[in-house]
Amino acid sequence: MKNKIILLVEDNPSDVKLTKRALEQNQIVNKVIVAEDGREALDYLLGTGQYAGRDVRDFPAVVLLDLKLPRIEGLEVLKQIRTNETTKLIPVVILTSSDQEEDLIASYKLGANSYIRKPVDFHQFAEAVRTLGMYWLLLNEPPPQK
Amino acid sequence: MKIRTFMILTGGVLLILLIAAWSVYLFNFTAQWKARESRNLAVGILRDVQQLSTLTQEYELYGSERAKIQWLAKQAGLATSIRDADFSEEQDKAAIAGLQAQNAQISQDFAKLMEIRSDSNAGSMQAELGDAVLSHIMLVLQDMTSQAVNLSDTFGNKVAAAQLNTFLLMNVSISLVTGYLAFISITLWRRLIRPLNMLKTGTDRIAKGNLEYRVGISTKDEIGDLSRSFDTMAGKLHDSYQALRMERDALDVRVLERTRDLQEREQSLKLLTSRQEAILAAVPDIIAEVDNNKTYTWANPAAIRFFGEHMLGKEAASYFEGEQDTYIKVQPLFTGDPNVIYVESWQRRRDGERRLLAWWCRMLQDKDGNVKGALSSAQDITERKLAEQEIRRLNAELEQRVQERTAQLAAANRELEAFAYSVSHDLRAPLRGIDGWSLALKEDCKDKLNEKESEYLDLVRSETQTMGRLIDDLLMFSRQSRAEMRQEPLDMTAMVEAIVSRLQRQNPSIQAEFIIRPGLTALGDAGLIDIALTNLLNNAVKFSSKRPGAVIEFGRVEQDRRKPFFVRDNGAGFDMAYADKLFGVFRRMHKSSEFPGTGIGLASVQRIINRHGGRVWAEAKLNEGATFYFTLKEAI
Repeated sequence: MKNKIILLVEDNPSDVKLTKRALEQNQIVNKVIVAEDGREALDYLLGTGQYAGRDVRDFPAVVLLDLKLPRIEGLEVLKQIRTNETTKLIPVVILTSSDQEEDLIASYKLGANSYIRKPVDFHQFAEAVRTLGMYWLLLNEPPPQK
Repeated sequence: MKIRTFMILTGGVLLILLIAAWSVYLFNFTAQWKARESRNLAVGILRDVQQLSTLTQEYELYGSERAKIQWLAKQAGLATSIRDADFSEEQDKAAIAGLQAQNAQISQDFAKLMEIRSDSNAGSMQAELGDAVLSHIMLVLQDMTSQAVNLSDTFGNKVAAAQLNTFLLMNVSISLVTGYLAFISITLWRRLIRPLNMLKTGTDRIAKGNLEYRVGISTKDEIGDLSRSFDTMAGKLHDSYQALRMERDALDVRVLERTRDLQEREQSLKLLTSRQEAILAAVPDIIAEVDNNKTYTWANPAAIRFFGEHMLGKEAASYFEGEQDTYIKVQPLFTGDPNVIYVESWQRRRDGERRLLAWWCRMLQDKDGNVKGALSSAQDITERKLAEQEIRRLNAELEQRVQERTAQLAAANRELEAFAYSVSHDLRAPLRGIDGWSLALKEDCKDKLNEKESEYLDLVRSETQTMGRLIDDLLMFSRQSRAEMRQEPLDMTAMVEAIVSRLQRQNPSIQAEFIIRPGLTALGDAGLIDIALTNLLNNAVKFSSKRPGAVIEFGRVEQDRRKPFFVRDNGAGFDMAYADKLFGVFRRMHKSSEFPGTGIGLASVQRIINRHGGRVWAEAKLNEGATFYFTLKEAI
């Protein structure tokens, strides 16, 4: 489980670093792959584009997905993950600044496993990251590998 | 006794009388007949004896053979007569027996005489004997004659007596029958004629109107029955007449009343007619009448003024302006439709002007119910129609403008939404960075920073977090204005109770006592009202948190016409001089160091209540508490 990958889809470098810091502070040392937009995230998961030839059966333990992304929006990414046979069982946690009710509903409708709003207070943020890491990386039994 | 019985009895008696009289007469007549027969027989015997006497003498004198034969024949005839005699009296029977014996004597004597006389040799002795025989015969004949005369007399007397009897009997019978008939007549007169006369008198009296009169015959016969029936009939007639007279009297009264009614009605009808004329002349509406050919037959002054001429005899269509289906629309009237038909029709007046008339038409009937035309009233609606058209045009224009404005608003809303989304997402991200990296700096350079520098970093983080809260509150505020609003019945008491328990859960240090009035309801959007109530209750908790014995009350002012709800606390309150600034965005009454806050809460409350068509206001006194009032529509 320790060598399981976390796919962090986030375009804000500050947030990327803060997230990584929060993970480190909570002793979550899994490898974090960062995709800076939706296209890149899908390429990684489906083994296309810059990730052509990647073994797609080695999917991440959890995808941390921001909603507001360049090129392909977070919700569209989620939709494609869920409609694709190989990726549809991957746990996806929405990690976003938005607290819009519409976003929340749309995310769950499209099959998000969890929805976490990034708080301004880093202490609270770190706590949220710790909780989700604990759950998705340690407690949750991932779908069987193909 | 019934007259019928009486008649039968008297008839029977009469019949018996007649039969008795006839029987007596018949018996008497028979006796008389028999006496007459006997007398004739006696007379016959006497005649025969006389002839025998003559024949004897003739034979003696002449001795003729003829006399002898005649004598013998006569004597035989006499014997037969005597033998046939049938007498009832003993005395008569003895007489006839004597005669029979004497007849036998003379027959023997005459035989002797004939023997003597026929002997031609006879002597004088013989002659003498013959003479003696002859004298004996003559003597016997003499006696027989006397006997026969006696018999004849006896029977003659008997005949006379019988005749007298018959005469007497006849007289007695006639007298008896006559008397009896008189008795019957008198009785019948008494029992029949007199009562009948009485009945006739009664009939005449009653016919003349004396219905009180009664015949009053009480006999037990038919006349009595008739009289009683008659009296009963008269009684009933009297009763009927009496009832009839009473009815007639009542009828008279009614007729009088009816007559009075009719007079009154006629009076009011006259008034009405006069009123109708006045109305028809005074109404500003056009009123006109057409016959079945739709030709005007009558019009009121307003109609004549409108058309500029008297329309009598002109067809309605002659005033029509342009093609129209007015006739088709009103056609049902002329086939008996009793409803009022409304029709609008353009008319051209005599002065050439076109006017639109609104007609209300109704059929007219004659007294037999046949349709004889239609009566219509009309108003000139030309101006109104034009105004309506203008209003419709303006409305359409307005609608157009509203649609355009709505579209603009929708576009603005979409922009605002996009903006809010950006604010939510993009403005918060750098804040998170500032906070995160300030903390990172503080943590990573813990040893290099002095106390003051460390405090500065804390201040940076504190301000950042305030900024984050401001953004959150602003977002919520903008969302309240845009959110769809649904009006539904709300249980205000239950909502307040739920919010209070939520607040107590989130902040277990709340000391205040809550007084919540039960059974309050209103009409509103559950989500928005929840936000408003939460804000108000939060404020009440916040501003009374520093006071011991805090009491927070939710209720409703029933005395006020608007029936406002209120949230009251006995906390810090505020100076009413600043009350007008209370509901402005970012407006605050207290220093942040005293009571933290963003200044958005009451602005949100006002916006929510205003969106519901209600009002919100506050009453307060510094350090004595504040009361926030708001109105909502009543729950249905």
